[in-house]
Amino acid sequence: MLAELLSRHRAARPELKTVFENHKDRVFTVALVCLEGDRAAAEDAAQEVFVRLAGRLWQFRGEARLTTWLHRVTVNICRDELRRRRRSEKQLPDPEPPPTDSFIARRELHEAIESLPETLRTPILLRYFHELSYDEIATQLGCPTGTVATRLHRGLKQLAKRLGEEETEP
Amino acid sequence: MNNDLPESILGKRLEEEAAQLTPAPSGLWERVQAKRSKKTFPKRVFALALAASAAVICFLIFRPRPLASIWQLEGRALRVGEEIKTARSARTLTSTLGTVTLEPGSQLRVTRSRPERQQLALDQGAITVKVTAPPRLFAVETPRALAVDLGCAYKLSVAGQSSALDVSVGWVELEDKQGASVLVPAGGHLRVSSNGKLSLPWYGESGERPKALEAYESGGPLEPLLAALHEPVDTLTLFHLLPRVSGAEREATLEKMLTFTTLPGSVTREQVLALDKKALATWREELKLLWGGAAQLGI
Repeated sequence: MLAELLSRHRAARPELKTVFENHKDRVFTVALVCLEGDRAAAEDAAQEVFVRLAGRLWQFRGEARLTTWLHRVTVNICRDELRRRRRSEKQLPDPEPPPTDSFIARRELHEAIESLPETLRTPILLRYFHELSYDEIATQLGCPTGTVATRLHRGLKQLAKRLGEEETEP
Repeated sequence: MNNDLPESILGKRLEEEAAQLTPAPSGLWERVQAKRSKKTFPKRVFALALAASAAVICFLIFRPRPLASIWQLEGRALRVGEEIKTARSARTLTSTLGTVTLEPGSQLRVTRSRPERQQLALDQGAITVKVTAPPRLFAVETPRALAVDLGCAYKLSVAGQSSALDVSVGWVELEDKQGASVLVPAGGHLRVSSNGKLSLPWYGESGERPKALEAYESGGPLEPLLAALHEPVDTLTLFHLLPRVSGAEREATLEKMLTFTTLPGSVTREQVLALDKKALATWREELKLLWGGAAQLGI
């Protein structure tokens, strides 16, 4: 009985290599954006994300929670790295050129997504970064499609507010 | 059915952002694996150390500890297995049963403390016991014998493998390792040789009896011993001599006994000579009155 439950649990648990292959580019891109184009630092951040994931992969049984977790951890690791840099910059002036506006705007977008409540953040990540349909998102989240539409709408509005952009009503 | 909402400006921006995927560097998986193994090793070592520590703590908390005995030494309860040694001065163990005084240069252990048996072991030296316990509750081991208290006071001494018992009040039963036992009343003495053989019990501190006994037990003839036993209390020695001799010597021993006492009505001369257990037990019960201490016997 216990062995059967354990084998079922193992079967339902995603493999790290599979998750890595599915998410590595997205994680690396988010890290690269948040770290303003620093590839080496983005690679370090992506590495740290997957090392952390390895220790708690057993907790995830569905794409939705994994996706939001990966995004949150990636953004947080990058924030920590930026804070560390700012501290060291105070001690030693940074000779590197400032980041381009493009990277700043993209980083602000990811940080704004991360600042959303989880109920709004998850549909946005699944819809725009994983290109899932409303129905697929509804299945992932276990809620009606109408709820997905509402949450997406509210999420976009809050995002626009945080980014100071003018949002058009559909 | 497509329930999708028409995309907003921000939606389009998000789609653009999602489309700008930068492929992860090729060696990233190997880097992840390398860092994981570095992180996992100390974690495993830590987990093992933690498990080992927990096991040690559990052992320390739950390890079987020796039971506290009823004996106390200077207000401290002694544990089963605990050893007490004396150097130049005596020490006294106390309990609800009475006292045990350990003489200088002695060594004693608490070997058992159960409701049905309180037992000490005298390894070296001498003890003076004064107990008022119910018969057979208290006993003292020596290297070759066991002294079972039947409600009394006595001195027990050990030198190497041999031991000596001198009873002052009541009765003590001394058992050897083969199960043979001798009942020693107040005023009686008994020795256990280094090979574990019990001597015959006798009365009197000094005089011809101990010498005659020693000579007989060293392989000497019976007659000098019989000649040395000339008082009614000597029936103690003679009674215990009966099973150790045979034929004419047993008859002579019985004749000597009958000069001090008579056989009970239910016991015949033939039964005694045949070492009939029931007959001997009956006679011994009557002889106890002669040996003294019957009032203290309580058995």
